[in-house]
Amino acid sequence: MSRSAAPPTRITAHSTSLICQDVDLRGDITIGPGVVVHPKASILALGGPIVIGAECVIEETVIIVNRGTEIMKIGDGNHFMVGSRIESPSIGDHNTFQPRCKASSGVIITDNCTLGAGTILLPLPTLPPNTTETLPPYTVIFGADSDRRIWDGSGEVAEKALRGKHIEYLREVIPK
Amino acid sequence: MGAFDTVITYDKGTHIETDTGNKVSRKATIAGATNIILGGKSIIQTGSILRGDLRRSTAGQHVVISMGRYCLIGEGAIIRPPGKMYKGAFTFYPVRISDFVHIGAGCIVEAAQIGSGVEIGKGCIIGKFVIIKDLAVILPNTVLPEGTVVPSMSVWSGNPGRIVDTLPETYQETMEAKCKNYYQRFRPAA
Amino acid sequence: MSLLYACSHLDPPISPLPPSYPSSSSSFSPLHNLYFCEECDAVRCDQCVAVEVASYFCPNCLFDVPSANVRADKNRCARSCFSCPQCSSSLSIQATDSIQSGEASSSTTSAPGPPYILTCSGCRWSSKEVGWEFEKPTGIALQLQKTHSHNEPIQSEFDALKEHLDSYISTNAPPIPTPRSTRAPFRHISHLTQMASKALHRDLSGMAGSSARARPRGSGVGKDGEKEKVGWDVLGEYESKTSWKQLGLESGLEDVEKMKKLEYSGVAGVATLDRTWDKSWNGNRMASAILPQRIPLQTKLTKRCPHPTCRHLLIQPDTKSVRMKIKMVAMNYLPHAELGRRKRRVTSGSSAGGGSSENLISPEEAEMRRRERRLRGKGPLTKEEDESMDRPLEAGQVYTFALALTNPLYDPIQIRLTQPHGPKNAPEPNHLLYLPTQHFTINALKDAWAYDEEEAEEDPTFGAGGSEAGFSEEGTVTTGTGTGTGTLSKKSRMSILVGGSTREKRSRGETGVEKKGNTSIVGLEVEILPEAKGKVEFDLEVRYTYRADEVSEKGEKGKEEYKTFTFWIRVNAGQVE
Repeated sequence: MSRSAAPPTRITAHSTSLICQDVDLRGDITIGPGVVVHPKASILALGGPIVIGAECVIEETVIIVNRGTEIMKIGDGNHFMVGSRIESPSIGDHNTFQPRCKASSGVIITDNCTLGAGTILLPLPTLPPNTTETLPPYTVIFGADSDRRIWDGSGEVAEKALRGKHIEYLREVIPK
Repeated sequence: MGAFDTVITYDKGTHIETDTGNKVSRKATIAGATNIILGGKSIIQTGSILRGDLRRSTAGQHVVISMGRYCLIGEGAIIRPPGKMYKGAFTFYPVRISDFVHIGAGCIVEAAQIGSGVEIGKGCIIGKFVIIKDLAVILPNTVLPEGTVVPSMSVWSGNPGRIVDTLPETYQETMEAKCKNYYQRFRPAA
Repeated sequence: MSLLYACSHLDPPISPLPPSYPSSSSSFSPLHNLYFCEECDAVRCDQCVAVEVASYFCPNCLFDVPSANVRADKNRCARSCFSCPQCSSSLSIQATDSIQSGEASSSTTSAPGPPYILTCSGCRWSSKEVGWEFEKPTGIALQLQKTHSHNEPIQSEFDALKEHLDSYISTNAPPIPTPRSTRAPFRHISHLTQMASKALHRDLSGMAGSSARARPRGSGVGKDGEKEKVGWDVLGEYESKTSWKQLGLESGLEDVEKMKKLEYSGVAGVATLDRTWDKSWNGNRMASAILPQRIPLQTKLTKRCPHPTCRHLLIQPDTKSVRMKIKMVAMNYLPHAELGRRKRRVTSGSSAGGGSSENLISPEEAEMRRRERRLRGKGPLTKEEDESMDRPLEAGQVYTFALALTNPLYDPIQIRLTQPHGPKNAPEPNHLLYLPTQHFTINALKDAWAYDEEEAEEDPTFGAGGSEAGFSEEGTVTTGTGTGTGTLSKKSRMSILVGGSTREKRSRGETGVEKKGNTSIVGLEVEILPEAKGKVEFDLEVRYTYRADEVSEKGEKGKEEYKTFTFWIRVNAGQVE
């Protein structure tokens, strides 16, 4: 329950962040204030560094990988739920990654997006190959076919409040 | 039934057997073990994660995960309590699992309640506060969104999950026999 | 691997058609799906039982809907259960955010209030998108009925038509015996249509069952109706509320709108067929226009014996719990059969191997060969190799399988295993089947606690069945001599354990049978013919003798009555490639 035990490389974690034991951190990683990393999570900066903003929650068996050479920037207030796998080159603020969703390296995620449980986010097949798509804000990926739709933002305030309290609570409970 | 089923062996040192016959893999991640109750003769497989440390906000001792008899938590399955806002504060709620419940490998379970005689196939995602009543089957790779209610005797499949079939009336006996049989066959290598 | 059991439906139990007739497959189902009628002493299946609805409930809120309300509620939940128009998962009720709540106030005054909306946790759809907002978080369907009564245009038309027909049904409740002279009943109906309608209403012999079900005790009505077959209904002409022509004209402008919307939203904006197909055709076909639907109710079913003179209850559910008040399932009557442990005979010489002459084997010759093989079976010449059950079979090979039968009764039973005779002209099967052990017994089922004890006792050796590793020969049952069968040598190697309780059985000297608890395992030999292809399937006739307990209660103690029951199972041994 301490600051990242014996970093293999360079880990910069803010003093208010909480990183559990039994996590796999590799490479150049910067973790912002109030971030909670649950056990068994992996953050792998294999290529370029990974910068995680404030108040993110990274749950069990989440894998965040940066294979590229650029900085992978993750904004504030993102929630990475159990088993999600993230390779997006850039992620904005207040996104939700539901259990076991996959975000490929070909899509930049903006703000307030939701990747539903078990979905896979790939760039649209209509785009020319090797281009990076930018997912517009409030996009929801859902269902077996990973369909897209736009969320009308209802319940957004309640959700932000929930997330804030959630982090607060985790920080209180986990160290015990 | 199960006349030709073979023994499932494990190396003796890899699992801990409790007084009540629970078999828990040493390679399972069990956080907050004091908040977890196992009913006996249940198996917790390698690589599974049970989050007993995510307890309720109110003071005192709380059961976070309770499990009945003859249950199975498959390899790499994750059981964690669901959380939500209640009266302006965030709190986790307990996960209650009854008897004869098989949870397949690689499942993510954040349910509030799983009744007895429930089989959850491999790789399912059971969302927060899902209620699964007694006697139900969740086919492999089903995704149940938050708050789904699974009635008795139903079969669910898909993402998002929906009812695809009804169980035969004999399902209770079949499932109980299956769970007992599995427990009997799961034994250390001689 | 479980096997399929035959249900003869309403016919007297006879051996079913062999597997070479594809039509025979409809009478086979797994044992756990079958019922058993004690009165008729027959197996019943889901295809033949008579089904009645015992109760209705909503699968989401689990409310038991009284059957009186079901029709008025249109078979859907009348409380607050709705399914998402986008992804069909159930919607939850959520309070909306107070709009002025800024960052500062959100922590304290985040207790959200009305209006309430429906949201989907799967795809984040919210009922705001279709303009639905509610004052209370309960009884959504009722609130909706009050505020948003915009039905589909087709609904009013349908209601009008229903009203029109209803008035006719209620006024003519006792069918007015119209005089026979009214031969030309209705203006527009020509003789041709009369003929056609008569032909349509005639009872078909093959459809007797279905029509009987449609009007359960109404045979009298049917006959009455037939007597006055020309009594045509006095029914006023129905005038539709809106004319299609009118609708067509109006929709001209709408189409322009639609096209505009379509241009804006692209293909993704059009609702998929499975989302719209319970709506009328002239509805809006855009995804954004689909409304949430109330969740359809589910039922619990009562099942009865289909036999017209029996009609006994086979299944009666309890509305309150998952228990059944009556549960007559075949699993509690018939031995449970399983097939397993495949072995392939490895021939060292070519003598019995796939010679071309095997195509024309006469039965005697085949028998000869079997005997030969049996003799050799004891010797070290022939080896048997374990094989996985899901590997394809090979033509021209001999396989042995083990057939396990488990007794569900509290008395021991005797089994006679035979191969049923198919019809004369049936196509020749692609294999030869040999049953080395045709008569054997199965021990009685014991109470669960007895087994638990037994399990505890014989713990170290329990369930050694398939995996021979590490187990000594201590429990060899089948060391019979003389009539030793081909499978015998294998058996003794198998070292099947016998629990202490079954040990006395050994003294009876049953050969070719392994016993464990209430399960007996016998061998089956299948010779795949060299030219065989496709599925290797065969039927087995199982006759079992059990003690009937009805008489033995009061009568003399020494006198026990025995009964037999015959059933057929279909064995799918595998696929030849």
